[in-house]
Amino acid sequence: MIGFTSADLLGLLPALLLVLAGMAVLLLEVFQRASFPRTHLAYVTALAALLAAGVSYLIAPAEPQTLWGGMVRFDALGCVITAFTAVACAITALGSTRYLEQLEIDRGEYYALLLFATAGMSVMVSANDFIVLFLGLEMGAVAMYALTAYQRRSNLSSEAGFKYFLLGALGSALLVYGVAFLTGLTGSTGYDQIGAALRAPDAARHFANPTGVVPFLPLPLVGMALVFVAFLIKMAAAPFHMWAPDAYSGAPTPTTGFLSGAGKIAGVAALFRLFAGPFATPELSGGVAGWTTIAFFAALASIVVGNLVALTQKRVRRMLAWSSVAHAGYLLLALCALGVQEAAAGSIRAVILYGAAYSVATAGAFVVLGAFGRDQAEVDTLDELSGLGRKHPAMGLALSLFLISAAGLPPAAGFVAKLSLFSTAFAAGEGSAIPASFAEMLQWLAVGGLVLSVAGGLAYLRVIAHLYGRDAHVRVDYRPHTATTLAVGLAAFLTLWMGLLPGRVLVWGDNVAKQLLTAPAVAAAPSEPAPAAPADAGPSAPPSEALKAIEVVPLPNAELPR
Amino acid sequence: MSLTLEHYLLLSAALFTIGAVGLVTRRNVIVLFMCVEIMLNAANLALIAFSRFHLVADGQMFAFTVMAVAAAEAGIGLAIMVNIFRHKKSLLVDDLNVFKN
Repeated sequence: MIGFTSADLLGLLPALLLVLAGMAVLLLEVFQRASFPRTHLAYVTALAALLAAGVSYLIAPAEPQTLWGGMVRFDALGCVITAFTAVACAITALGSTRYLEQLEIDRGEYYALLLFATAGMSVMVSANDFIVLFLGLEMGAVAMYALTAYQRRSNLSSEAGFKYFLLGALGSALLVYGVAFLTGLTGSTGYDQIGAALRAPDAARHFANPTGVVPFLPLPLVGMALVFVAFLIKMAAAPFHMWAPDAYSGAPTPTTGFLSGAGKIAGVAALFRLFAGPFATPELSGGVAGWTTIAFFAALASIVVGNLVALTQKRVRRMLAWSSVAHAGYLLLALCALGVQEAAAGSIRAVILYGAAYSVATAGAFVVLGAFGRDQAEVDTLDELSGLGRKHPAMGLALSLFLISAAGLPPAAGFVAKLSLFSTAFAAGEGSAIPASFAEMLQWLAVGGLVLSVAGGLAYLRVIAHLYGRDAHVRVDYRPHTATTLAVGLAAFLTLWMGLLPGRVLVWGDNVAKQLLTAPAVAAAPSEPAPAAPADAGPSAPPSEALKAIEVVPLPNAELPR
Repeated sequence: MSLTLEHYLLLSAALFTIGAVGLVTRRNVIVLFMCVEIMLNAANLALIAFSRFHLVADGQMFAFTVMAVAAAEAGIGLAIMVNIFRHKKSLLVDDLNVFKN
């Protein structure tokens, strides 16, 4: 058993804070009367989340470090994404309290689950080992299943929760199976070791006839594809998006914003870490057969399906769910650009910008939607929203701002993000490392994606048109609350700030890109005794020759790598 | 003839396929969940086989983690299923259709 130092703890401090705050909220919940309103728990949650965001901003290291014996990478990407998700968590927590009160499901577990989900996302993004990645992913996912099905008395919520749960569990199974094949390279689950094995001079052998075990099947490639598909499921990218519209329209409304905003950003950030690190081999990323192509087709499908179906939706939350599929597509477009060396830094910066804009605006939009409703029902159709913008100017203005940001129009943060994303994708088409035909396809997708995002933007603008249209025939109540106002104010401020003065976020993006693209050197933490021990056991012993009877080999005691 | 890595991988692939096919063909939500669990355990088997093959314990540690996480997941999943049964008095996926209208 190796020990750990305070540096190890510092690296995970935001996640630790979030988990501790979640436990504190659970305890607070236990020690109070059932009739007591839970608003203060929302404030505690929001404060803890903002604190975690602030801490992760402050402790962001100047140079990437690996902690916990190489299992956690502590760098700008993890810190920035943790900050974004924590801010989204704070907005969601504040925006939920009035909503939950209305439905009489205002309990402390809700806030604790929000905090645990955020902590999970933070761990997932910081992972430098598939075990940690899986733990973080599941920590986030299990909490999100519970949040989605949180409205126990609602048929919709339970069903939404189940669909999300089943697809999520399938995604986990695919992920673990994929990791098993990658582990087959060297026996190690570490990113660095797997990356080293994939980059080794004799790595081509793995792709031709990998372990020599199952002929004609490049097991590491299959493993990477499975891991990628698992993330597509979790991010609700086409063609694995079918759960999203149901889950998003059945979950408690403020939760949906968190699920679709923060969840997607954390997922794509973890993918970026994978594809900028262990999977970034010339054979795999540059060539037409590499993951860039898979990402390309997933991006294409997501952008087309998401935008076009969003246009046909009559229900607001379903419309937002479908367009979130399109947003997943844009993020995957950036992932394509990551595979092109010239555009890699730009694509990382674009994703950071996009993540900042999207996570905040989505959380804010769903909080506003959750603030309206009648009796126990929530606003659902466009007609019900009609005229609300004039009756409640502040809320209407805020919702319009969030939708404008999601559509990618000027004063809001989404504009800068979308501009940077599409220009990066277009620039990637000029990269020299990729075949001309593929470069052309990438540029066509960048242009086509831009056109389609205008079409998708119409779906958002239609909501705004309804907001300021003639009055609704149905009575819709606005449920005012200080916490809701705070949440919407925070989200609106951030959206405007990042839209008008994007300089700060651009600096973060550049910093993340710089740290992510520095070669994953042997930045071994001092606490790590022998980082290379598992790595050199694998490639040096060609698996095809070492195919010996398993049960004969005794397991030496000293082989434990960590 | 002794058992080699190949045998374990083939068994694992067979289990994974059984799970995947079941996920598409079966109608009861509990059976669907069992299918996912079979897939997870197939993955575990592959992990452990590779781990033993390379004589590195990472894969086995991962398999333990997966088991623990799968148990937590099962807790949430079964709770959601109980809830669905309360609403529907049925556990068939064909009855999960509130979003259709």
